[in-house]
Amino acid sequence: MSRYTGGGGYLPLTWWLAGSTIDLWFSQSKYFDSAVGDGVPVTNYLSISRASTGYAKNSSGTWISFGNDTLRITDLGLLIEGSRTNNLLNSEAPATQTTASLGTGSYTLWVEGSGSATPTGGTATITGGGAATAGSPNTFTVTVAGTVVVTVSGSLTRFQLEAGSWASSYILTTGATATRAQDSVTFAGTLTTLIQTMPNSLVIDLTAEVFPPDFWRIVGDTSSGNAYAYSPSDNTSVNQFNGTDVVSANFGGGRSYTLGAKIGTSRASGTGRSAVAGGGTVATDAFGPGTLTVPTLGESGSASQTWFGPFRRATFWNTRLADATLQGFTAP
Amino acid sequence: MIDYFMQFNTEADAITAAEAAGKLGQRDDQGNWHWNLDHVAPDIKAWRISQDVTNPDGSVTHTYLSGWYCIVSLNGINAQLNNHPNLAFTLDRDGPPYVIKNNMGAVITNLGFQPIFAGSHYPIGGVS
Repeated sequence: MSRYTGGGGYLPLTWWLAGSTIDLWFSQSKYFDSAVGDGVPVTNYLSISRASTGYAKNSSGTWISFGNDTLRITDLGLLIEGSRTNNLLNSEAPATQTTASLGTGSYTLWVEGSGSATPTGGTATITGGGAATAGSPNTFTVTVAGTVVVTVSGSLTRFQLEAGSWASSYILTTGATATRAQDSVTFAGTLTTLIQTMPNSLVIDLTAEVFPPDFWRIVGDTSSGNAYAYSPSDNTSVNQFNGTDVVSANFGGGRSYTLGAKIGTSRASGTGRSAVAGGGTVATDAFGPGTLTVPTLGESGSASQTWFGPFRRATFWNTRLADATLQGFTAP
Repeated sequence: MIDYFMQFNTEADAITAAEAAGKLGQRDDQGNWHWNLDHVAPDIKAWRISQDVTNPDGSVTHTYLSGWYCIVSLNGINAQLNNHPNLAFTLDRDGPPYVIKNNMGAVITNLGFQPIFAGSHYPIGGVS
């Protein structure tokens, strides 16, 4: 954890960062706007579209249910995920069952409770199937599409089988399989104006459920390929992207990141340049990202580039921070 | 929320319709189509409950209906979707009443669909 969210003597008496315009500390449920004050509603700055319920786990390990179009905020942060489907029925009364036909690709089976669940091919051909136990999911591959038999042993309280190579948050099912819709979290109000106006800066602290297997967006745009910040598939850096121009800085490893980014008074490189920061370093000269028409947290308009994991804190300035300031906030 | 169950011959037909309307998704710079998965559930399987076969092990085999189905979920009635020629039926998950529009006649009580959006529930027969 960086000094940004680590607390201690580094923070001033007020909880929001010095000079910040908008500071959204999701994991502490604290929200600040320099034009309004402390205790502002987070929904003044972020709106969400999600046509399903969704669950998020808190620091005690309890799953909390959130209704449609509701930000999933717990003491672990604001959870943002792409769409996933639980292919098992009656997820809170786990019993041996045969799935509907599954397409080819990777699937992850995870469980809660004292027993296990094991996938085997029904009419499907699978590789890598093995017992999933609490805390140890099983990821297998369907090489020939068809049904999969999931055999339950012992006493389980929940189980989930989803497409993908890692486990996402819980999806409750009863008599039909169910889909958790994607969290589409877009900027709203004065935060939209801030991010679309030069200069500006941001610092964000977040965690990924898995090392990003694609160009996962941190701050992106659903209407273009532009990204203020994203994590590329090399797993170790944060980038700014504007068509062909890319600049990166190292996160410093792990799946828990604090990153910084800024845009100067012009998108051109040189004096007043844009930059990204991670792991206590600031990348050198950058050509700033294009305007974000529909700025989002964690989304690009492409499902494979959606962030999976909680955002603990996001702070924004309507000024261009000094390199040393970004270095300080992103230092491990 | 209002759930619009749409039926097309193929996904390509659905994409053509969505693209013509300029809604429900977009193409990336490689030309690949991406549904807006915050309120579109693509590739829904549909079957008639009366055609289900229960196997010796207790599992049930569905005979899927031909065509390509999706659910579009919105916060209110959308006339463009509600009057679309590819609309199968419209349900209000917060009903009753649950059935807003049914272009499939009484057969709706014999239909099963999955997956559905988590948290939605339609106690009207086959549609869970």
